[in-house]
Amino acid sequence: MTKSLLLIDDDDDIREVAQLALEVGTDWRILTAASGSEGIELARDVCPDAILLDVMMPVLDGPATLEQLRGDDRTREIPVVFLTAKARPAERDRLAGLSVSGVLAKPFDPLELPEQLRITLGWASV
Amino acid sequence: MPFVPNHSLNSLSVVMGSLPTRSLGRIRSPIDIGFIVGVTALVLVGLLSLRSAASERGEGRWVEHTYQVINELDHASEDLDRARATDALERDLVSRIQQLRALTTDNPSQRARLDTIGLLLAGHRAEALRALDQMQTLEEDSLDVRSRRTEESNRRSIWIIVASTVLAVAFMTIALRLLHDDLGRRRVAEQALVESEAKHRLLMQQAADAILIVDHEATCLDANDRAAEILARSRNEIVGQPLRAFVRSDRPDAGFVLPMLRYGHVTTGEFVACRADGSTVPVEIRATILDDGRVQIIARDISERKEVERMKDEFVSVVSHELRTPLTSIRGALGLLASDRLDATPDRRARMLALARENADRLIRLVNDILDVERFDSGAIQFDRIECDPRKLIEHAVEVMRPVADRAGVAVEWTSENLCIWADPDRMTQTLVNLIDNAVKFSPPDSTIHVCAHADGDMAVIAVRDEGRGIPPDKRDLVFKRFQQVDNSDSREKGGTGLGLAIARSIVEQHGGKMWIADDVEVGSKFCFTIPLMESVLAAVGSPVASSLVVNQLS
Repeated sequence: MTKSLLLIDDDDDIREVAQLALEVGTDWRILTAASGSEGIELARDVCPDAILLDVMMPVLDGPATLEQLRGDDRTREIPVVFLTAKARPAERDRLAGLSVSGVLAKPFDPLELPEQLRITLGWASV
Repeated sequence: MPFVPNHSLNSLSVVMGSLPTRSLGRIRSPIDIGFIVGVTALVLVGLLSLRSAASERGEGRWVEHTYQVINELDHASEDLDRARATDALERDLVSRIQQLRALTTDNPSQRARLDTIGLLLAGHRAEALRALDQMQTLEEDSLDVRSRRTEESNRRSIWIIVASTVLAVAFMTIALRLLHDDLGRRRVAEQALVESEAKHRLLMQQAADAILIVDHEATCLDANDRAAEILARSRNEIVGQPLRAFVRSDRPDAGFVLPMLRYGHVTTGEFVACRADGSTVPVEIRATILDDGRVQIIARDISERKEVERMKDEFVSVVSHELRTPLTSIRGALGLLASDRLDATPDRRARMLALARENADRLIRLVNDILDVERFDSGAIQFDRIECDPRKLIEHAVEVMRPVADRAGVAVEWTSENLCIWADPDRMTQTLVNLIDNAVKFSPPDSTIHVCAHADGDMAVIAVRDEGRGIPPDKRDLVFKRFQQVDNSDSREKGGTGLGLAIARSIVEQHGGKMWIADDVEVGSKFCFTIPLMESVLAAVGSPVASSLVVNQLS
């Protein structure tokens, strides 16, 4: 069965590049949202198999979005992977300590991003 | 107990403790020598005087004795003359001879003569009389000798007494002089000590850092005014209390300073000072163990440093994030272009190329702005200020922004009084460009941006007004901060770096002006700033020169 992945990032260009990289590298169905609140609504509606979540976003940032996802029965069990431009190990360790499957760094290699996600989420290779 | 520095205590104990601890068995100063010599001289004078007096008394007795002998001899001679007449007198003469024998027991030769006289009295009175005369002559000679000896003794005694007295007085004078000098030195030392104590106390009280003195059990013995200020307690509330009541560490591995001090180390560390109101102050502590076992703790308030470090960390974090964001798009787009995965979709390849180029431009702007804002804030940039005409500056800035405004479908109009300002024209243009760029980003299509300049007192006021969504009053200070926008997504959506307004305000402030967001518009936002006017131009202010330039012909 085809996997679905929700990409939440407020930067249009990054969202576009990441979506393209995942579409050409996998057979997953890629959904996108430009803000935390938009992503939560979409997640409740479609219940994706995983969420790739940006950390620094206005209004509702990554951790706040994650908290709301975990507080909703419909989205509580969805695996979440953070995608962050934060460079400091301490910041990444703090994020990894939240209830997420993993933390991926920006900039990312578009050709390796699908494989990194598979490993992080424990999904079998296509 | 007032704080007394350790070295001062030592000095004090040396000075004050020297007198009671002086040992007679050890000569330790010139004063000791002076006293000993003086006392010896006095004893010597006394002994010599006693000896002279005794000698004088002995000589006097001998003189008196000799006089007595001579007197008896006179009487004996007279008696001998008269004894020729009567037997009674002869008996008296014999009696006197007996007395003379008793008186001359110290002189055997005279006694021999008296024995001879006694024998002669029987039949040779004339010879006896001659013998008496001879004795008298000898005694008189003896009297002369003893009188001279007595006089010599007197003179010798006088010389000894005078010399000894002079010597004793001299030594006592020297001893007193030394004592006076020593007391003077002690007075000077004590005065210096008192002054040193006062200076030290003053330094302690006026120190910019908190100073606490604690004993070996970490109980506070003294505190200066700064310590009381930092801890928000009076000095009396600090003294006598354990140090842990005021200072603690949030780091579990930090321990406390005193355990380290027991090994004689000077130690430093960051701790938290607890104020009376429950708030805390980060402090850097330097603790030193003193010779007497007390510990001097100097605590420096590092609140500002911590805040600067926090802001620096935040800035680095934000800059890092801001730089990585366009890099992520560039890296992703180029990675896809370098592979063969987009070969079948030329439109996607073109889109990725455009996206990489746009983000490269965004990165360039970002780096330039970051460098600019740092240089402006640090004052590293020198401003070449000259007399400027705001009309030319505004016109130039509008021309620069024409392509951007064209793409956004926004018109720009401007008006200006005939002004002359004192400013760096390039930096003023940069300020205007940043403000117009910001206005363009938030202006809806078919709207107009208005730029105007007029005089207000000694300043020129330049305003840039747009017809966009406006800025809520509570966000108006925020927009001038680095990487801060009303909506953080604006930087991506509008292509800004989040530094343009911060740079613009920094330039204006470096020119002696100020920048703010006016609240006299109902629609959009209005950014205003002031720049000093040239006084000579102020006098020549004419009627407003209105000019309008439509930079965008809506297509």
